[in-house]
Amino acid sequence: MKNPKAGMAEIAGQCIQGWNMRNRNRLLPIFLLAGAIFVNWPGLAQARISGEAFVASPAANAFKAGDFNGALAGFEAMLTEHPDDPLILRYIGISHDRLGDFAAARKAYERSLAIEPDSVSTRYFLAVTEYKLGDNDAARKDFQSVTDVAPASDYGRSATEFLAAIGTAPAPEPTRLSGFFQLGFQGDSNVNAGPGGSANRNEAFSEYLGIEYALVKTPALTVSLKGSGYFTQYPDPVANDYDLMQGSVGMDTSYVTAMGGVPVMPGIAYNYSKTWLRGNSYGGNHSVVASLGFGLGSNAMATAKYSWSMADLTDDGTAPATTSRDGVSQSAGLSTNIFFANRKAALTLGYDYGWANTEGDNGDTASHSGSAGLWGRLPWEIDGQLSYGISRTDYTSYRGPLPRESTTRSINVSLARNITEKIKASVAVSDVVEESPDYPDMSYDRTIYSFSLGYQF
Amino acid sequence: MPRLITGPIDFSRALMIGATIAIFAFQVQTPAAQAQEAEAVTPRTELLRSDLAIDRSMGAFNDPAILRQRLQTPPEWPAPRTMPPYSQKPLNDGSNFCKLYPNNCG
Repeated sequence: MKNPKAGMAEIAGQCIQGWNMRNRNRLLPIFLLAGAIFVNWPGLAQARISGEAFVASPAANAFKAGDFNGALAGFEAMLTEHPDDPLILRYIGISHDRLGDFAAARKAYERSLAIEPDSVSTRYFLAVTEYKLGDNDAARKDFQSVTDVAPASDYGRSATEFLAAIGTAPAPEPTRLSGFFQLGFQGDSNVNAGPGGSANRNEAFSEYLGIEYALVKTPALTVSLKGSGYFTQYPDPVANDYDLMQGSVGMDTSYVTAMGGVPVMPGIAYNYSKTWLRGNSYGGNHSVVASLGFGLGSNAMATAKYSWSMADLTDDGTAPATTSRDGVSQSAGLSTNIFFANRKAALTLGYDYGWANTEGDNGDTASHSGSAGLWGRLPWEIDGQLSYGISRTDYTSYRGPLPRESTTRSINVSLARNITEKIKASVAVSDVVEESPDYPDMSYDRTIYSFSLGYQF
Repeated sequence: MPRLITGPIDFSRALMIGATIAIFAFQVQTPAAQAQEAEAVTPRTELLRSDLAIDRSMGAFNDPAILRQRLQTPPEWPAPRTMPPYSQKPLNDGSNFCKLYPNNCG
């Protein structure tokens, strides 16, 4: 009997020899092709552009200079030399996005991801474009994927900011015209009683309609015209005599850019509001607010604000030199938002200094105001807000037996939840106490509770 | 020819042998899988690093829409309005309101 091992080796040797003899000629081209691929493999890898060469390219320089049309043409030309390069495809996507062609941007990102599915960067920019397209479901999924893979990177931090925005606000309106309608019911512990002397506690129904039309709506610059109307009905017949009505028109503009890597957003708004009481003009008010928002690190932002307003009341009182409240009020202040818990909560701190100069001496004031607030996403997707404010007002030219100073404290609590993407329900309670130690008749305590349904369209 | 199994099958022994093989295979498999995973993570991390350097250098994050998100404040829907301040027992300044409702001005 043969040694089984020797037998196997012999059989194997014969097989290989036979196989070689039979297939040598047929396999030669295949070996040559495989060899060529192997030898040229580094050459194939070089078909992708290096990061340094890409950043130094004329198309990249055009992109950095904000010439996105030029950059797009350049990147597309680069594709002929580096076909299907995922980096070039990504920047074709970003260029389309900056030019506002979001559908083309999405296609380019998807083509890039088909070649390089692990690219966090491309997935992040795809999600940004999906957000701009109003496709919140796709954007949420892709932003979530970015935060899962690279939470501490620039992509992850920014994705967290977008996820917070998607989770708490309706999708941005793609149209130029948008509006808000609110139906409310409120109880007020300090509505003035009418001449009949009814109780000063009262309930009211209210309707508010706000319309906004965007004259300019680019990601960097927005200019909008705004108008609103507010109406109330008091079931109490005496209080209903107030027949309160307010209307306002205005214009808002804001611009966003980056300075030294810090996002900054200057804005200016003008508003004129008019109030009617029992069908008669009660007064009008012009106001201008200039603001500058800026980022403070990755989890905080601040807004510096200056406001100017001029009141013109129909009736100046019995002795206008003392009683007229026509005049100019100004204030300047700073507020900060510090975000935590993945932007699902924020602490707000603010300070304002205000001063008023009116025709009547009794309206001249100087005041310091401070506020602190906490906002957070609670269970069942409820947004909760709690804020406290305190201000001290000095009546600088007060004509009276004693100088007048007052301290006002307010506390507000509100809970709100979206019923659908566009309808939100909210309940709120606020309490304001103003104390004027030397003039007790002017002190008051006022509690307001309200329930409202808002519809954004 | 040698027989691997002689006599009736001992299930408890078979189970023990099977478990031993499974544990051994698992121990062999796990470092291999870990090594494979490490190999998979490294290129992704490298890609992330190089992409980030390129995107920062290009200013890709300076998209106004991205900057606006950085400056996003907590959501504020228009709050319910209340009566204007003259419901707060204002100073009796002889105004229209105080003429109408003299008892309600301080």
